[in-house]
Amino acid sequence: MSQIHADADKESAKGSFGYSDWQLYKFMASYGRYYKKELFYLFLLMVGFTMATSLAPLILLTAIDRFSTSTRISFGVDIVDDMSSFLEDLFLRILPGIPQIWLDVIIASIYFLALNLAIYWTSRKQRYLLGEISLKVTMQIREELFAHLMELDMSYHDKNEVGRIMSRSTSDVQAIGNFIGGQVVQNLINLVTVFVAFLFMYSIDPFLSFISIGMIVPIIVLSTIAKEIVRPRRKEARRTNAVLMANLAENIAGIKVTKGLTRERVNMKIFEKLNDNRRLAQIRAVDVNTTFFPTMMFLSSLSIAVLVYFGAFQVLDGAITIGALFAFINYNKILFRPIVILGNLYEQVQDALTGAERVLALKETRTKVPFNQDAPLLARIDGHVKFEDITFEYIPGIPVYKDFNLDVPMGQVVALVGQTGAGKTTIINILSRMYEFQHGFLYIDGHDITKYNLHSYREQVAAVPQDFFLFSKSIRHNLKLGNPNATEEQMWDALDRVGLKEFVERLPKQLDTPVQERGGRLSIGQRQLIIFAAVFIADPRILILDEATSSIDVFTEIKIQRTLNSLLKGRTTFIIAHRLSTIRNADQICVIEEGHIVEKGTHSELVEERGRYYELIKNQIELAESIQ
Amino acid sequence: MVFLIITGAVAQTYIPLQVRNIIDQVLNNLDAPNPAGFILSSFLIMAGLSIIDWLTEIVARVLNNRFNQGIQFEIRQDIYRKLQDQELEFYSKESIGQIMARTFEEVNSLRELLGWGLRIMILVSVLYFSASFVMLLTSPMLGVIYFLLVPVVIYTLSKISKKNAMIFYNTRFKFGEVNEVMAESYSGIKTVKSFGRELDQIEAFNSINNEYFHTATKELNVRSTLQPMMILFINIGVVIVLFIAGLALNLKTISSGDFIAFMLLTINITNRGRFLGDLSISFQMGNAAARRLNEVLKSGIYLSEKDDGLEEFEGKINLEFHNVSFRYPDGHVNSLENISFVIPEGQKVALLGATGSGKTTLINLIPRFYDPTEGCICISGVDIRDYKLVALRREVGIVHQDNFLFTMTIRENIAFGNPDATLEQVVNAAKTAQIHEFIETLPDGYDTVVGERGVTLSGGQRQRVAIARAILTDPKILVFDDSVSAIDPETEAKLQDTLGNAAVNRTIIVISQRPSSLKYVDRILVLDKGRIVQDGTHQELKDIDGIYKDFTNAVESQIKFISWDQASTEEGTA
Repeated sequence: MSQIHADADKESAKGSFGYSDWQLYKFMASYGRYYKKELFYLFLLMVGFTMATSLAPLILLTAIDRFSTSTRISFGVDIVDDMSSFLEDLFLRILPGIPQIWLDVIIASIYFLALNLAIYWTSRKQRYLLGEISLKVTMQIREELFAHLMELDMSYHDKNEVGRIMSRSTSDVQAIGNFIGGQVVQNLINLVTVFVAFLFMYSIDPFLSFISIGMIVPIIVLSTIAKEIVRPRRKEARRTNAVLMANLAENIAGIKVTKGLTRERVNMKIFEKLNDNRRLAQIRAVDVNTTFFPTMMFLSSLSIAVLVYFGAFQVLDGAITIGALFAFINYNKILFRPIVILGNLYEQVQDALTGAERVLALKETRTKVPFNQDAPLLARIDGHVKFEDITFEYIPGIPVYKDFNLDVPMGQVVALVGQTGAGKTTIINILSRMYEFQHGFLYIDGHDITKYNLHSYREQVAAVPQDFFLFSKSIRHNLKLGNPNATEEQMWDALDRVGLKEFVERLPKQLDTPVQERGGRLSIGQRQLIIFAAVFIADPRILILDEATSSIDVFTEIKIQRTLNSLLKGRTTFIIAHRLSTIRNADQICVIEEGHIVEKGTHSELVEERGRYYELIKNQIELAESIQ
Repeated sequence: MVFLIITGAVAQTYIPLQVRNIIDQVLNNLDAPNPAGFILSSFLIMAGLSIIDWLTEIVARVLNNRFNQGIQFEIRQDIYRKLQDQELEFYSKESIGQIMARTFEEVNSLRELLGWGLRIMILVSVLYFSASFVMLLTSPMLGVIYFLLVPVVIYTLSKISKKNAMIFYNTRFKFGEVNEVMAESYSGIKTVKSFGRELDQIEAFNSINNEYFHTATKELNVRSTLQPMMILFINIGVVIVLFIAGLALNLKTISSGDFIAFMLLTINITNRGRFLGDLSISFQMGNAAARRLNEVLKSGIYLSEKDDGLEEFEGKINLEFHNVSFRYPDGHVNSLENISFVIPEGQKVALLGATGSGKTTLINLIPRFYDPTEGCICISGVDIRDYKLVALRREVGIVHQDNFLFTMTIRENIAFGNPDATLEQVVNAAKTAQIHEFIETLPDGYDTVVGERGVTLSGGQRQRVAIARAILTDPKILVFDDSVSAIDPETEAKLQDTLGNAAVNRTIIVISQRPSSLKYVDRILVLDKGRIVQDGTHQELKDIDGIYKDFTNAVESQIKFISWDQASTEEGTA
């Protein structure tokens, strides 16, 4: 049990889940194993891209030198030179008498174009492939999380509100995706280009190449400083953003209250304050970058100036050609491009690590009520339910039930009554396997239910929970909760039984009418009836009604009373209800107090006993009769 | 800001010209006097230009940052103001998720465009013009060719962009759907588990997730093509410049320094121009975002308010409905049909009727959450549309069925409608609502934070806080929309005693499923399918055949174990 809430608790206690960065990288990298082929292909593209990008300035260099000196300088790479003499022969054969200069220009252009096509193709493929891997990984993580969340028992969902879970499945997953498919990985690849480009530079002129590479040192120093400044500012920016979002979400949810009390102006003032806080925090966070990036670019320009300064002397000395100087300027840009963007590295890596941490923590939170997909299927049950010596606790160490026993023969109707906190809903939660009990056994038809496939059991149990929820989709969608294969006929029949048929028939879209999220057209009572209809469709062996008719008015209840009775027939039913009419016909009434059954019997037996049950209904009857 | 960007761009144009000077006047001119000195001075000029470029860029970015955040701030303010002005009809159609997405994600995607898009655009175009100008001066032919190249690139780009505009929109739309399925499944997890439908949910999610993947892949294809294509275009331009400049150089119409300077200028633009691909993506996103923002900003307010509306009720506060019919904007039948009645000041009325008979719809008309389709509602003999909305709603208090509490202290929650209320006023309201004693038992008393992220109150306690909130403003007409259901009868009796106090002379309208609530009313209105079918006192109605008689006959079924279980709604989440 202590493990269950570890997720949320740990986070609030320590602000982190206690994973090392190494574990998190390993977790993210573990998704790479599904993409071995793609990764290999990516590697090939990378090599191609690197070669093409690094060769292109070299071609320009030679071309420039050829033009400016009007001499035939070799390309310096054997294959390229072989190719070039081959092409030259070819052109001479096709167009005899073509001037040498035209030949040179054409060949240089062809090379340059070919290289650029290669750059285009490889970088496009590279981006696409990376993007695709990133999409696939995020899709996979989202699906895994979703399935995991569906399997996690209610003790997890109680503790974690929807907003928190949503941010796990969206922004946290997205952060991982951005990391994989985003600029960082792409530029890590480009770092290889930096290395290769440096080699080319070195081979042309070692001295000048060190000037360029030397400029990288201040960049690294600067980005380390920048990241220290950025970190707290970014945190603050995020915090103010979250506060603003929370304020907006709550205001939309409570709009009715705001409107009713005409509090719009006050709300606006509060919003404006928070919005302004966010604005200022964002400005502070981005301001660091506004200095950082231009500085990087300045260093790049400066290094060109230095290159030209020293390079010019080299040219004067005849050590390098003008073309080579130009190539250096060009290489310098290639060198700086990825490094400048590396300023973003810290931000994205941190985002990804934070995301991975939360995702991993969620994934490692174990459900206490597993699906048991591999366990044997439970055949159609009769509905004999037996709780044997069950101990149950929501909070470790504080048992709600200790050695709880209850035997319900098939087909019986059991009513649970008792005060708030007595544990009525808990019994139902145990039975419908929303939570796991700590000790004891739950036998259904004599089978230990924890040893069976969960779905084969749940399919035969239908529970109408207290805080029921309708999906905003169509009425049809909600009815099919009971049975995805329900026919039209079955659905109309169920609506008829709960007295909704006429109403739905009058709707223009009938079963396809959406059930809106808030304020929609269906009243709360009607929504409850729809859930009720879904139960009819489910046709369960064990039926659980937890305050199922609380929002249904008397008129409707009278109408559906008979159907309700027919629904109870032939199944084991557990009822928590506040209405005497629903309870008085039960086969067993259990009065529960502080985790114990203090009275048990039929209505008339318990009335005779003049115990707790009698005291209660006496009051209620008097109260009701007073208006008659 | 624009000036700074232009200065920076001009500085960048001059750097290659310096390189040219070095080449032409020193490197290719062996007779040059003092080559070292010339190189040094050129170096200093270049370094100086870099510094100008650096400083202008920083200042431009700083200004841009403020401009960008300022615009975002203003847009959010506008949207929020609009949201606050919208009536409930708007909210019955827009989910929280949608509104949040509009206010945050859409504004964020404008940020990219405003943040660097604008700057890059100005920068590239200034660079383009100044570079063309320089080229034009040295070699008119090259200048013209260069000048023509860029429009071709931009034209092609916008062609591609237009073709793919829908792809971007679709991706956002699909992602919204994925989010919707997730949010709903998580909110409804208990329902899902109760029916054992986890596996179906997972399947449904996977299929929508897959659809998203396919749409996103299409977008990815466009995205991953645009930038490399941009670079390819630019490099083709480089080849053309190389080709022609090479010939020109060979024919000696330009110097080799000119040639190098051209190449450098071209590469300068290439460096910025490579972002044009991303920029066009930003434009697409910005376009889609602006459209979605406009949907909110341009959406109509459903209620009109008179500028010279009355500030308060005068005389006896009688509430009159005259032939009121109402149909929801998307409804196909009237939800209320020809309703007429008069509730004199101080009367206590119960509204009774089956689920869906129109009770909540009816009371929503009183504070003008909706306006009647036909007929009119008058208070003190004046059409409620002639009052100022603020004045009307101040005097009509509604305690809703779903008693929503905000994440703030109890005191702030009670004073929600009147934040300036004194503690004494708050305490008095709490006493009237029978919640004061409970609040006193909390460790922080009135300063206890409640709501979604605060201390959880039981259903009955929440209802009583909501009641205190409604009566703090001391409304003349007080409406309970099934909002005493979780309060036990004894407490309800006390509550009704204080509320119904003759000295207050407040009109009270109660919707309740509980017979016990009927004890406190002077009159009962029975609604059926949007019409008033019975109207009278308990004594008058109890013996007439009709819905009310059916109701009292069925009263046994109404007996609830409420005193035992006033707060049962909380048990499940303990």
